[in-house]
Amino acid sequence: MKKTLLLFFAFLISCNNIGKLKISHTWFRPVLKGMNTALYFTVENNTNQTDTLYSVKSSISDMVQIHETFVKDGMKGMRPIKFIVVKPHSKVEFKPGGFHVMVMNVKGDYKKSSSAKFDLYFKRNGKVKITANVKE
Amino acid sequence: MIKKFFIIIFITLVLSGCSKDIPVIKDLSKINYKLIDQDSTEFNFPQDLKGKTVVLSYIYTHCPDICPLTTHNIMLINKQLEKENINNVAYVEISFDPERDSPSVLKKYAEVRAIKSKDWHFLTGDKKTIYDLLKAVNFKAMPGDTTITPSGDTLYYFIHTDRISLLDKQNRLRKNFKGSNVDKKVLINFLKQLDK
Repeated sequence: MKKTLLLFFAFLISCNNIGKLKISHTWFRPVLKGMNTALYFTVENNTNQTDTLYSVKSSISDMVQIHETFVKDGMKGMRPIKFIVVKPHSKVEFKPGGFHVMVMNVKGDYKKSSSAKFDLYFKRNGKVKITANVKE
Repeated sequence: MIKKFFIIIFITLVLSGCSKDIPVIKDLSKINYKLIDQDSTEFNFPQDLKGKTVVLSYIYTHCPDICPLTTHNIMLINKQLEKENINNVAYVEISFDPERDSPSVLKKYAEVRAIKSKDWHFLTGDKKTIYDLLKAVNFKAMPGDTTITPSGDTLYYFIHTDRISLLDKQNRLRKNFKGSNVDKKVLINFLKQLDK
């Protein structure tokens, strides 16, 4: 009986963690010291639970924010947003002209073919480390 | 015989893709704006571009997303035009954030993208001149959200028109496109008509 219960709970736990969070297509635009750039990537949530990206950090900048691009009166702008929800079995793309991570006042030069590390913070999955390459 | 004549006329007109079909949005040839380029050299816009077809856009270098995307699109257009040996074209990017975009900042913006062409001009100037120019071409840019940095500085972003334009060889504004998601083939086709 005890064994059956243990197996049942193990099954329930496994159901909530089928698959995992996958981060792909990581890249950012070339940038020189003191200027801003945008980090792009795709978050694929292959679990059965919603997760939320609420922060991004990197040693290349003291100021990193999650941003969205918006259209107002025929003009385009961008603004910080506090978090992005990634629903179960769905993906969110950070791409030019849409969601992006703004990396401000970078500490060095990042030209084509160089790379940098970033930490993505999710409510459920915690810190996810990524490396992004520079490309145009 | 008459039928044949009209067919030939029709085909000639279609093939010629007459640039007169592209209406003039604004004639800028009578106005001149004294600006400065990324090499700190004085630049008369648009007079210094006379005789060239111009791919024109508007940027601010603190923009991480839309403006670099627009520049990237122009780089792809430039690559295609060079491939097709269409060389009588100038590329102009005017900053609408002249307070932060000094010539040296614009030079960095170009350098990091490996933009070296002598026909590529990144322009800035005094605020009044820039805003008069933007008004003349009906380009809107206004400060939007701000962010306070850890050191207490205020960073501001712009909300702005998203645009790439074409000027003809007589400094006339002929066509506007969305800058960030321009159909490059369509733009190049219009440019070829203006280049004739």
